[in-house]
Parts: sequence; C-alpha cells; structure tokens
Amino acid sequence: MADALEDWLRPTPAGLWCEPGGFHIDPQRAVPRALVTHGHADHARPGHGAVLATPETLAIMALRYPRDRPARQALRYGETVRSGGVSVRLAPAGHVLGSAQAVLEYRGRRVVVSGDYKRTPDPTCAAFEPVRADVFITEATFGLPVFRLPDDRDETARLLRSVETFPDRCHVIGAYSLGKCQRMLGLLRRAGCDRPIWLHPALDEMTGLYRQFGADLGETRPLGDAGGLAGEIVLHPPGPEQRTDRFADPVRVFASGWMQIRAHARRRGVELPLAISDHADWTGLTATIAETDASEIRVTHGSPDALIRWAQGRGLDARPLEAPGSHAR
Amino acid sequence: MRAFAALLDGLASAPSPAVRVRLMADYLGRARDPERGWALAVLAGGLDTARVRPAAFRALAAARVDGELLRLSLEFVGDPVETAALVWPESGAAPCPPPLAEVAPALAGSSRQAAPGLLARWFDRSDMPVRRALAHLSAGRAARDVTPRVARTALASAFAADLGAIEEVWHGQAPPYGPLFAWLEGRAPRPETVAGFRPLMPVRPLDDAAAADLDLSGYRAERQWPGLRVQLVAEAGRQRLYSGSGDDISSRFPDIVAAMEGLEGVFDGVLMAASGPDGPPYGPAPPEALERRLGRRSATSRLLAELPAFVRLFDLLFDGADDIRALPLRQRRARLEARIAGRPRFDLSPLLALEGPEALDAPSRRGVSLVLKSADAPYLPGGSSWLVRKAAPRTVRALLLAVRPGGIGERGPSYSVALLRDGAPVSVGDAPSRLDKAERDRLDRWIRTRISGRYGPVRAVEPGLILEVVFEAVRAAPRRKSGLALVSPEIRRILWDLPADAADSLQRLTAPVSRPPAAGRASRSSPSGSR
Repeated sequence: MADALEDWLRPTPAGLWCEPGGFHIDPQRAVPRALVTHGHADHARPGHGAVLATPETLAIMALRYPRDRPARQALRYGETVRSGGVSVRLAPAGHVLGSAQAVLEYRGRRVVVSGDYKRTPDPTCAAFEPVRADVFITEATFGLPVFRLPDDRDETARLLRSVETFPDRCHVIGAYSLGKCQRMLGLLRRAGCDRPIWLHPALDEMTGLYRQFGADLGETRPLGDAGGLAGEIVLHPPGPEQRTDRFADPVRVFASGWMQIRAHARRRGVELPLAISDHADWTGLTATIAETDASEIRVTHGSPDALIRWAQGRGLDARPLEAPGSHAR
Repeated sequence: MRAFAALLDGLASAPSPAVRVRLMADYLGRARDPERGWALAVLAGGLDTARVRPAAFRALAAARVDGELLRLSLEFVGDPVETAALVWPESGAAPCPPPLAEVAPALAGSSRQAAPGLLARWFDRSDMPVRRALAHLSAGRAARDVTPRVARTALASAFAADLGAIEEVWHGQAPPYGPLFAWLEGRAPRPETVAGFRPLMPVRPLDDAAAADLDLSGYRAERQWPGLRVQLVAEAGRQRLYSGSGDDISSRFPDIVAAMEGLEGVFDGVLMAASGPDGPPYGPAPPEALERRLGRRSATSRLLAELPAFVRLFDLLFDGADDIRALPLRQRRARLEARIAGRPRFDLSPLLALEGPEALDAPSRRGVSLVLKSADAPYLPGGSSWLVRKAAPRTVRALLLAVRPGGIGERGPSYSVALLRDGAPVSVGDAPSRLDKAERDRLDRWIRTRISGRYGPVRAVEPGLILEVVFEAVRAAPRRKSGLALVSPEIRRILWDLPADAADSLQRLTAPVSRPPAAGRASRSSPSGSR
C-alpha cells in the first residue's frame, strides 16, 4: 500500500507543502523553497528564498517584483528535477504564458497539481497537456455546470460586430494585465482584426514580455493621455472604478468567465460582457478529470462542491483540498 | 432566432435608449420576413409571450439536471430563468434552433400548462445564447428594457422613415407586419388604418433668455396639467385612447372610451385621475392616482369607481372627418369648445390671461408651469412646437446620508439625501449631482473618510454634510419613512461650511408654495410636467 497522500503532500497555512521534497507549491507567504505554477499574484508571491518555475514565469515574477531576489531555478516544460526523493516535472497548463501543472512522483505515486488551467486553445501560451495521475488536484474556479462557456471565436465576433455597429463609440475592454490582455489581442488578430489596438500603460510591460517570448500580438499603441478614440479598441485594466470618461461614448467591455452570468455584468455596469476565461469551464474541468484517469480528486479554489458531487457520482474519491487563501479570478 | 437572441442580449445591457434604438435598427435592417415582424411584435409590446413562471423553470431544469448540481447552480445564479438556460444539458449534436417566427406565435398561442413542454423541446435544439433568449421570451422579459415607442423609433431609423408616419398606421397592423415592412421598403402602398394615432404637437422648454425676448401678444397660455398627455381618436364608430408616445391605452380606461361614444374626431388633452367625488366639474388628483390606473392593463370596476378618470382637452385635430390641423389654433379651439360642451369625463383647459411684464415669471415663481401656444399657428408637429415655461425649481438644504455608484446609463453616482423631522434625518430621495469635477472629487474624498456602513454597492456616510438640492416637485411616497419624495432632484452645490443641523426640516416640503390659479380645486401645489 502506497503512502497516503496527506503523508507527503498537504495543505498548510503557507500553502500546499511537499514534505519529502521540502518545498511549497504556490505558497501564500514567504517560504524557503517555492514551486510556482504561474505568475498571477495570488500564486506567485515575492520574498521566497528559492523559486522553481518555468523560465516564462520567472521572467514574469522578475518584472512584477523587480526588487525580489530569490534563487531562481528554471525548469522547462517536460524537464525533471529531483528533490528529496520527489521527482518534479512541469507540464503546460494553458492558463497564461509560462503556466504549468506540477507533476510530482514519490514512491511510485504520481500527483498532478493543476494550478490554474484551461483547455481552450490560446494563441499566447502553450496548450494544456493532460497527464495521467493517481491523484489530481484541480482548481474549480468555474466549478458549476452553469459555466459552460461559449466558443471564444463567437465572443470575439460579438466584439467586432459591436465595433462595426457603433463606429462613433470607443470600445474599452477591461482585461487583466497578465494573460487576458494578451489573449484578447491574440483572439482579435486570429479573427482577422489587424488594426492598431490601444494599450493602457498598466498593460504595456507585460505585453512586451509576451512579445519577447515570441507572441505575435500585432500593432499596439500606448494609450498615454489619449482620449476620444471613437471607433477604436482600448485595452484597460478592469474594475468598476475604471475611468472611462475620457473616451468617446465608451462601450464598456469586460472579458471574464463571470460574464456568463449576465446579472454580474449588469451589476458591474458592463455593456458588452464577453464570457472569455483563462480558467477551465465546467466542460473543461470534468473532461480533464476523466482524462487524468485519477482515482483520487482533490478540489481547490472557487466552487468545489458541484465538481466533487460530479466526481463522486462517477465513483471517484473526490474531496475538497482545504487550502488556505482560496482565490477567484 | 440566433440574430434575435444576440439582439435581446445587447438590449439587456444597453446603457441608453439611443443604444437600444441602434441595436434594434441594425437588427430590423438585416433580418427577413417574417422573422423581423415577430421580433417587432415582441419588442413593441404587441405580443404577450409570458407563459412560463419562474418556478416552472426550476421544475423544467430539475427534470434534466442532477438535483444537487441544480441546487448549487440556482444558489449561485439566483434567477431560475437564467439558471435553466445555463444548466440545460447539451447533447453534442449541432444545434438547430427554431426560428422566432415559430417560437413567438406558438408561445403567444399556448397555455401555461403547455408552454414548458414547448420550451423544453426548443431548449433541446438550441445552444446557450438561444436558450437564454427563449427563456427570457417565455418568462415575458424579452422586451422589458424597451418601450413600444423606442421600438417604433428603431423601425423608423432602420428604414429612414418618419416616426410620425409609422405611428399613424401602426395601430391598424398586426404581427408579423408584412404590409408595414413592404410599405417601408417601398414595395407596397401605405396600409390603410382606421382610428390611428396622429403625431402630437411637441412641447419645448422656454428658457429665461428666450422668455425675455418673446412677444406675448400672439400667444395663448394654459396651465401645464399634471397628468398624461393623450390623444383621443373617434373614427368610423371606433374609439381609441393613445398615450402621448402613441401607445394604445384604451383597455386601461374603459370609462374614457365609453364617454367618447357618439363623438367623431381626434382630440388632444391631458388625462388625469379625478379627485374627490366624481364630476363634472373635475379636479385633478395627485399624479400617483393616475399611476395606479396606468399600472393595470384592464381596470376593475372597483378601481373605476375609486379613481375615475377625466381628460382635460385643449385641441382638436379632426372635427368629424375633417382634418383641421392646418387651421389656426383660435379656430380649432372654438370648434373644440362646441364639440365637447356638456360631455361627461371631458372638460376644457382654461385659457389664462397673459398681461404685464410679470405674466410669465409670476406663475413660475408660484410653482406653476405654463404652456404657450401661438393663436395663429396650425397643428403641424413637424414644423413648430408649443413652449413650456417651467415652474422655477425649488431648493432645499439636505443632509447627505449615502452614496450609490452610477449604473449603466447614469452619468455618475447618486446621493441619498435627507431632511430633518424632529431633529432626525429622514430620506427624501436619491439625487444625481451636477457638480464640476473638482467639487465632485472633493466630495469623493470627504465621503471616503466618513463611510459608516456598506450595503452592497451603497456606502452610508456619517451625517454631517449639507447639500443644496434643486427639485421640480414633491410627490407622495408611502413606502418612505418621510412619506415624500422629491421629483427630479439634483445636487447643485455643497455647503461645506454649514453644520449638520442646518438641514431644512421636512415641513418645508409639505408647506404649499402657492395656490394654483383658476380651475384648481383640490390639486397639489406643484405640478409635474404633463408627459
């Protein structure tokens, strides 16, 4: 009988702790050794002694935390390192640039920690790679059957249609600086939109980093103090406080999985909600659990209850992973 | 159906009527017969498709989805209508949604028992955007953000047609409006209509500068009555009552329609609820009374007895079958007086003398709005208009209680303001601000440091700041603690230096500003504009 999972990998207040390996995964506070799955601030914190991550994630962290100086160890997708009897490999998670699943093996058991992931192809990051596992620890940001998101090409077409219908208005897209901004650029380019797109300064550096890693995002223009911009598309950090007064009769667009629930969009004053997410939707979550062939499922982040119910219905040992510091994005 | 679903989705979050008009015009210009005709029927309110109650959506979904998953989904989304569309299982087969031309008439013709079964079959053939539209349609929510007038405006915009011309023929047409579209596209002559709506003479505000320059000698004045502008049409034995926006409200006012029996012509006036014992003579009740009548699609006999309505008339467009709109007002008025003399449910809007340099300003200061009409002008809505001299706005010093961030279509946050009753603040409504940016920013900073509670997006603040609020009138608001609410309030100024107890007392609102001149029996002192 192999060791129980909790004997070597368990949640602690600092984050998921791998005892024989001597490292935390996506720790919420500064720890001596951290494995970081991707660069979003709720997974990648500054102040660790040493960080193991993909080269892209390390670059994102260096950009975000210029004064942070951990010992950085880059691990490319597919490469393996060993730490205290635990073998560690990173597999693409398809979430944002550099995002990875942590594939851990110890005494013949394989655990895959998904980090944040999505199954939809994304022109700006490596596609999710399904890995067979004994235990699959999955996120569940959109772990409800109401989140079966539409094809992102259809959502992009809705945006372009709106730009065509309202040539005298400025379309201001609320998008997070890491991931969503570049994904929107990529989707627009893939849909044949080759016009210059205006970038808010807060989105500029990260987009530059994506380009360094080879993303083709077409022509962007720095927004600076420009206003008006009727007929143009602007990418802007999200939030209800988003100052859009300076744009011509702005159409407030927000790209997020939450926009699938239109009441959320109305509450936020979003005129054009685009249900485009960097997280797996219900279909993606359930399909992935099946593909990993894991018999034990641990669910973290978001809405675990429905996903656990679904997995239990398929005879799997599914439970919440009581992780401190759950998040939603 | 797919294009219509996209339209409904856009309409639900559109920030303004102008945007809704653009979205609908875009759709109507592209869609084909009969699809667009059924869409127009839904949007312009001519087709009642509300057949499935929210609770029935829950039952519908429960038949297809695991109970626990459904419970969690409902808990998260809140609304069973939206939830059912979102959780509906998909077979994986390519969707093949039914056309609206199948859905709309089938729903309208179905019973509440049969409709959920229809909906389930349509859901099975559809993907999410279409399911959402089907759900809203069968819950009767599809056109909740669109007024019939706005839908007709979009129709006019789509075909570069005149809205007035469309409204004249509109009420003779039925879904899917084939002859109407054929006429708009120039493929057929204008459809014949009996007892249709005629364009109304518009009313335009008269500002201070224009008022000072106006030569009053050719004008007649009437009081602007607090009620609903209406048009009465009696033609070829048919009687119809239209609101000023061209909607047929006959079914809500059978008392008025019955009183038109034997009349022949087209009349312009203001519909009001009568106060006190039924007339004649009639005195207007507060506008809230009329709202109660308007809220009921068909009036009960109890409501008719409790709140009888009457129409105060001021113009005649057709005298019998004669189109007299080209005649000057003085002649039309004379004919009107002859026509309606002694008829119950109707009276005349009295003409007021316009004399002396204070003729306009004195009533305005007393809280009375005047409508000025050139005595020689024809009834030509395209070319001219009547002028309204609004009652001077009133002001109060109110206490800031809370702030709510602006939503879609609003220009900024609105501020909940209060007056004092026995020294304690009681809310009298929410007012937007017309402050400049610097002052608004200063106010924001003040609020941030004094937040005393959070209720969803609303921030309550410690009472302490006095605002100068301008408003047009006061209305009864039984659900408020104060029992009153301000009509069209706006924050004009912040009185930074005044202490909290400098707020006005609630009694200042209830004290009458003045007695209305002439004909005013038991009316409220502050008229709201006739709309």
